[in-house]
Parts: sequence; structure tokens; C-alpha cells
Amino acid sequence: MKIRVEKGSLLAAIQDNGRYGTRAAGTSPGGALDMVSLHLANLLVQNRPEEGTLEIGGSGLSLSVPAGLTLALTGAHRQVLLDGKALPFYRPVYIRRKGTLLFGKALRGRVTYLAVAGGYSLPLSCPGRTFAEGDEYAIGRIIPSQAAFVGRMERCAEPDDSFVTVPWSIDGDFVFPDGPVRVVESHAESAVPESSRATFFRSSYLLSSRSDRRLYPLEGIKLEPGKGSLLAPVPLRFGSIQVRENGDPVIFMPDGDTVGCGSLIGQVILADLPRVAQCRPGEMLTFQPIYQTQAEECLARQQAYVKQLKAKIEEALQRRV
Amino acid sequence: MAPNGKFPLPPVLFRPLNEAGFLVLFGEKLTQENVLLACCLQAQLRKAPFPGLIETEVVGTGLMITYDPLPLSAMSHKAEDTCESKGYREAKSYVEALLPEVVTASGTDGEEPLRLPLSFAPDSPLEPKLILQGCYVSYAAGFDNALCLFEENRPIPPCREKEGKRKPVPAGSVGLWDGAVLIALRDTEAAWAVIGQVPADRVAGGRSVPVGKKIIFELPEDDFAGRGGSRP
Repeated sequence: MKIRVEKGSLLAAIQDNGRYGTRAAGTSPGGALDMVSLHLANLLVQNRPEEGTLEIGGSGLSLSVPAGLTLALTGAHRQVLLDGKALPFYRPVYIRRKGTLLFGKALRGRVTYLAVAGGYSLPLSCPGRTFAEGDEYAIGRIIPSQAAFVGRMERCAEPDDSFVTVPWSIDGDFVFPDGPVRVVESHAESAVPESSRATFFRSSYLLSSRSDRRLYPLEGIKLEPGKGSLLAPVPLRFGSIQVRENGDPVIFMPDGDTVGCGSLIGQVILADLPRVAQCRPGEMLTFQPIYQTQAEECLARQQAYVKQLKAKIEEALQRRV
Repeated sequence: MAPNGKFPLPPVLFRPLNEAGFLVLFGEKLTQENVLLACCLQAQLRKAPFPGLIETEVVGTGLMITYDPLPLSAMSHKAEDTCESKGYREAKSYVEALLPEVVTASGTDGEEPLRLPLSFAPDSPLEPKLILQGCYVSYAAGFDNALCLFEENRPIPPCREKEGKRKPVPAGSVGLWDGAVLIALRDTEAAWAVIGQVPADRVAGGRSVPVGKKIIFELPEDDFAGRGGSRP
């Protein structure tokens, strides 16, 4: 069983949890922009949570999908059509007839995840590769519980259905909350001056159209960079907020630099990284400093909610459709 | 270095980055001792990782530690704290317990240095002897375009503000910038004073040159003599 790329996109690539341990060679871990949506997509098709999925950041991608494929869409809401018929998000979908998937513009959020039951069977070096026209991606091994689910779906389908889905869905919208992005402040020597920091937390910033998987530049009130650039290099990670020499703050994303000599404001908390990643160019962002203890509590709450969803999905998938 | 081959442990600073990462700093200045101490702590953590440890990286004068705080937090018996999270305090305790084991005797001492043949640029602004006589040690790996070196057994010169025009620098170029010797790991743009070239494939991606590795630059004898240099 293979997926064929009919029309490629530079903003579509297979992503997973990332590759740690190569920072010393100047290589950032990479990985999905919105890790929560990636995990949910995989859970819906009974894959391992960290299985590689297709991350789609733009419109126009077109894929030929085979009959017998089970897939799930999560993350940014966009129109995804299977031969002209819209596919639902946040639920497993069983493809009954070979067809063409077409990805439209995002209506909310930035990146969509497409997981397939069994995962994409790729060489180890492949994650992060963009989907080019004519590429074919084999589907990995289907486990027995996935095959049993397919059997149940097939039995309840009408003869003319091109796809069939379940009558339930999960709520993945917690990735898009309102309110400020929470930040653990940096108090190192390389941090920005107190006055600049206060300005940053009081102001709103517009996400630049130059944002990509490496960097989210912010536009708004200029900040004083401080003496960070004259000191020893500081580590940069997904979520690090740095003030550039021109006074503009930037947020480093999964493909960002590993170290830098700039002035740091702080680090976006792990629980808010998906929502930052899902911001679209032109959206306004505000920031709020919180303590490390609160950040850990936020992460624990988010993980507990994902665990709950996982249990609900597993229970629902065992039920008769 | 102490006579027994071990560096004395300087005061160690812990600096949280967020709820899932912190820096262990062995000093404010880039010195060989500090970098090697960080390398040694990294080696200790690889041998005895704590639950949830994801990644360690030598950066500047310390070690960055990335971890998943939830396994540590779940097993913690520490009291609540308004600022520092349980996960961080547990991870910090693990690292503190390893610090007595951190000695640099297992650093690069005794390892065969990497010998890189250096051909000088025609307009090289430096006295060749300066490069030839020194044994250099790589530090602060993680720059994606350059490998930074300092001369062994000499303090790192303090950073200076320096104006310079950026120009194309091919992979393998050796240059001087702000008191450090740098080798370009890929074709890049930089404001260095380029003094020569080493084979780019010997340092590609920085993979063959780990932090703490000794490096000796070698110059062809005729080139060296032509510049009026004399072997030390």
C-alpha cells in the first residue's frame, strides 16, 4: 500500500519527535512544530504517539491515497477533500476507494498533521524531507487491532461511500487557547535589561510573514538588546525568545540555531509551544512571565489531558461502530 | 592543572532555562579547565543518566541539560516551592551528586591530537609561528558554521567589540575573530581575518572534532620557510 504525491509542497514534510544528541555538531533536534497534534493524530490511528506523520504547512498538496488506508487529521483546520468530499478532523477515517486528497488553505492554525495507520515506511534519514511530486511513500506494518478496526468500519459502510468514519471525535482545540503565551524568564548575564523585559511583557507583537520552521520573528515595540552579544554563547532551543541587535524579539523554532550570542528574554513554556507553533503570520501575540513551578504544573495538566484522550480513543476504538 | 592531573572544581552555578532544561556553569570565562569540566560532567551523565534525561550539550563554559520534568516530579518527595519546580530540583540533586566524580583526568589528556595541514592565504595577516607553535583545543561546539578553538594552556582573551565587514568564507577556512581561532565547517559569510585553509573534509559538520579535542596545525616546510619562519 503506497501514498503517491500528485502535487508536492515545500511546506509538507514527514516529522516526528526530533533527533536529540547532535547539537554538538550544530544540528538542532528538529521535529514537529506542534507535538501535541502529532501525538493525537497517531493515537487516533493506533500508532505509537511519536510515529512520523506528515506535517502540512501550506495549501495545494495533492496525494493519491489507496483503498484500505486508515488516516487521521489533526492540528490546523483546513479543507481536506477526498475526490471533492470533505474529510473530518480529529477522528479516524477509513478510505474505501482509491482517491485524491487535496489540501486547502488553513482556516485556523498553521500546520495540519496527517497520520496513517501503520505509519510511513521511510529510510531513517528521511524525516524532514519535503513531499515532492512523484514521490511514493509506503505504509508500514498494520498491527492486529488496526486490522480489526478496519473490519468493523468496512461492515458499516454503504456501497457508494468513498470513505467511512466513526460517529465520535476528540476535542483537540485545547492547542488553540486564548490569552498570553507563558514564558519562564531568563536571569542570566545575557538576559535583556529589566526595563526592556517589562516593555516586552506589556506589549503586543505581530508574528512576521518571514516566520518559518527555524524562526518566528516578532514585530512591535523595539527592545534594548543588552550586553548579551558580548558574552559567552548561550544555548538556544525550541521556544527561546531572543532580542536581535536591531531590537526585534524572535522565537526559535524546532529547526532553529543551537547556540547564539544574543540577549535572552526567556523560554516559552513547553505546554504553550504548540499554540505558538500554530500561530499564523499576522496574528498578534502577548506574553506573560510565570514561575518554573507553574510551567511544570501546566505541562502536567496538558499531559494528563492527552492521557485521558488516549484512554477515550482506545475505549471508543474497541466499541462496535 | 593540579600535579595529580586533575583540575580543582570551581564553584558551580545552576541556571534554569525553563521547566525542562538548565545550565550547569563552571565559571564565567572560557578556559580550558571549564570546558573540560563540562565535558567530564557530560561523560558522567551518559554513564549514569537520571530518569527523563533527554540531551546534554557543552555550551560555552558549561553543560546544558534537557530533560522531561514529569517523571522526576512524579517521584519527588521534595516540598513545594513557589519558584523552582520539583522536576528541576530533582534533576539538580542528581547532578550535584555527580559533581564529586567530575574530574578532567578523563578529558583529552593523552589523546592523539588531530593534525590538520594548513596552507596559508597569500595575504595572511598573521605571523606563521603563531599558529604553528600552538596546540589548540576545540570549544563551544554547536555553532552551525564554525568550529571555535583556543590555544591550550593559555587563558582565552576577553571578547572585544570588533567592526568587520562580512565576506564569503569557504568551508575549511581558518580565521581569527575576537580572540578565537575558527575553522569554517561549511561555506559561510563571516567577518574573520582569514589566515589559511585546512582540508574541509577533515572537519565537515564538526562531527570529527568533538569538544575538548586537541588540534595541531601543520604547514608545509617550504611554505613555512618562505615566510621566514623557524621551527620551534
